[in-house]
Amino acid sequence: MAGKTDEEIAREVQEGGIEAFGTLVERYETKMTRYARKFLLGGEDGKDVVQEVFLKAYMNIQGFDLSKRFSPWIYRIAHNEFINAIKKRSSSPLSFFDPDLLFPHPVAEETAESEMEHKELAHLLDLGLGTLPAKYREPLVLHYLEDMDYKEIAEVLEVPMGTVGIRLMRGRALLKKMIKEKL
Amino acid sequence: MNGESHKKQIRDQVLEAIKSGRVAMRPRWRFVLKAVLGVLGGALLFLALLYLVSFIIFALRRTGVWFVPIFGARGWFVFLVSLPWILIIFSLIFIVVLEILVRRYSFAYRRPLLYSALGIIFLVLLGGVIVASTPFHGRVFRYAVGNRTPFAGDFYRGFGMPHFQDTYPGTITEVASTSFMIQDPQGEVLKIFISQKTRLPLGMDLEAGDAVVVFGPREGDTINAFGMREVDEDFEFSGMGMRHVPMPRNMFAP
Repeated sequence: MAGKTDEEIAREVQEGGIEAFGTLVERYETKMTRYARKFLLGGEDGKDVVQEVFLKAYMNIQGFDLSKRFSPWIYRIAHNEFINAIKKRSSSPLSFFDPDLLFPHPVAEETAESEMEHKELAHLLDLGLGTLPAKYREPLVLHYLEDMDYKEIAEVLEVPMGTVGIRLMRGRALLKKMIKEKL
Repeated sequence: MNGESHKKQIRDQVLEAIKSGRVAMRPRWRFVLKAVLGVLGGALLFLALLYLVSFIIFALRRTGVWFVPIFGARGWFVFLVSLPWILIIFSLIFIVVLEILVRRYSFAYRRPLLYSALGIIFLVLLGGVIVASTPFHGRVFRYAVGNRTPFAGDFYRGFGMPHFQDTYPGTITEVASTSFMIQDPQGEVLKIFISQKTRLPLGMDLEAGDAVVVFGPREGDTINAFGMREVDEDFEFSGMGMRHVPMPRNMFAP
């Protein structure tokens, strides 16, 4: 299994290979657990939600298009599960409709960051992630901790790339401001 | 070590749930069916929208309201208050539902909401204008007037025949020097007076048999035209014997 791509393994699962699915779980478990921990900010149900992500992935694996990449597909399932978990926890309704979805944002193109800047932001995230609204927290986690580019994040969140850019920009600004206030 | 056992734990629990049958893989046909139903639903909704929008244009043209904005602010006022708002509200609801449906597809969610919404509105308006220019609604309307349609008869009669404020569509039956007679779609004959103040945006090259829309206040069977324009030849009124009498070209010459 080691030399096989995720998509090749997914094909085996579609053909009935349960053990092959175990390999996919092993490959994505660390990523999903980290994504859940950072996006859901811990909580007792984190492990259950991750387990639910894999069960949903198995249930829906026949709907996975083998010509596409497996990673955004499973992250999309995780995104949906995590949003549901946040909705369950929160007493107030969580609205993910964003006016930023309405208009194009040409200024929010992906910019080249130095490795140093990237690492610094990833470190700041650890300090101030809990203070950020979920809308900004999620793209920051995907970009700085899961190392996804704008296009991949846009596919997971199903939003335009410009919206990803604007959320990251505002998220970064908010994070820096909050950390400054803390210090 | 701890992380490794935690990893094993989740993997094992997931596999155990699968092997015990607590979780089953959904068959492929369910996803295919869902995709087909989604596309079919979107297509049906789009066709319903085309029908509604083209019908709105047809009804506005038939009642003459479509042509009155050319008569200035007063024309625009009559146009706005005469619009079939209930049909327009239904169309907007359909557009919102269609937008929600298409946002599930990558060609829509990769672009700002504004683009996909404007795209839908543009396609619906373009399609609506094209369908409205075909004889489709005219034929159904004639069947509806003759009570010969098993469906939508009331709909066509209700929206296609009302008289709106100061707006009188009809066909010229007689022409005189400062007046002429028109017969409206209901068969009523009206006498139209025109003066030098009458707005004639498309000129006075009119003759018997021409379809026109007259805009102005009515007193009895007489209308003092505030404005008047010829409309397309396919703007039809039935049941009228017409004779072609050329309109005097110099009738308002000083």
